[in-house]
Amino acid sequence: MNKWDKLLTGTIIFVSLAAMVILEVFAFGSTGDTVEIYVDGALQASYNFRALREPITHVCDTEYGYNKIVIDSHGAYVAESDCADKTEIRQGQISKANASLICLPNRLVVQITGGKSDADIVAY
Amino acid sequence: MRTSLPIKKLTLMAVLVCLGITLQLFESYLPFFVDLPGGKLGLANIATLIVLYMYGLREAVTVAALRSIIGALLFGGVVGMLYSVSGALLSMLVMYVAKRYFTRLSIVGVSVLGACAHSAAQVCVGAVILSSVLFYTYLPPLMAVAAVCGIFTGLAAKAAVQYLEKVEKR
Repeated sequence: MNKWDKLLTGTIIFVSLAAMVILEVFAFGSTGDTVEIYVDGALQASYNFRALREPITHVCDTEYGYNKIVIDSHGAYVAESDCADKTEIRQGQISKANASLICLPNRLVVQITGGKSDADIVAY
Repeated sequence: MRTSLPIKKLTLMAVLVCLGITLQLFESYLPFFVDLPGGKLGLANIATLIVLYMYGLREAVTVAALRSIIGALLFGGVVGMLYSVSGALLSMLVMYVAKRYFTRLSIVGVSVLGACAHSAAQVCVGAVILSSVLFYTYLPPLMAVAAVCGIFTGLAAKAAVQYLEKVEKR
């Protein structure tokens, strides 16, 4: 591994980390209020989760696979999945706007939308 | 490095396709240390790198394409094939360009670029299949992980190429 390799790898890692920080601030900066569940690009269900008193369980049993999504007043997480890697379960609960849980084999996307940014809430 | 006998080359290429498929299967059983959709160690890239450095572009494209198509047919399904073939071919082409035109980079740097190209291809295909723009938000973490994993696959390929070239000289 020569110095050019190190420079290249270092640059890639630095730019990626910087992009992650920028995403964290601008894309995931505000809290969301709606959970949307998509399978193969089609909207399956949409829940306004902030007002929920009890958790809702949404089961996606499609030709692409099986997923159980639990939505409560704090956000959404995937409780069960029949896919191989289970990355979307290990990602835990999401609540910020634009955050997403993705299961590639089952073509599942759970995403959070809506919500005002924290700055707006303070201003009102 | 050119082999004197085509049959030797043919055998080595077949062995490397096999190695790639085995590594692909092996890494699907390994628990991965980050929870990212599409995150992978990219061990199969070792086989492609070896062929690229031992022979050249044509042989490496053949091995990369065969490895990803056979691998996907064995345990990925048709959609898995889209991810696997696009990832393998794009990373193969990026590695070829890097090796040819950025001659200051060693095999490790070339491997890092290949791993990043693989991630980028996966995210693009994934975003189209899921029709979700949000999948691009996973690109930066996937890139960082790919860069780190690329160092190790590059070192592994370097050791293999050094050994194979020593064997060739006998």
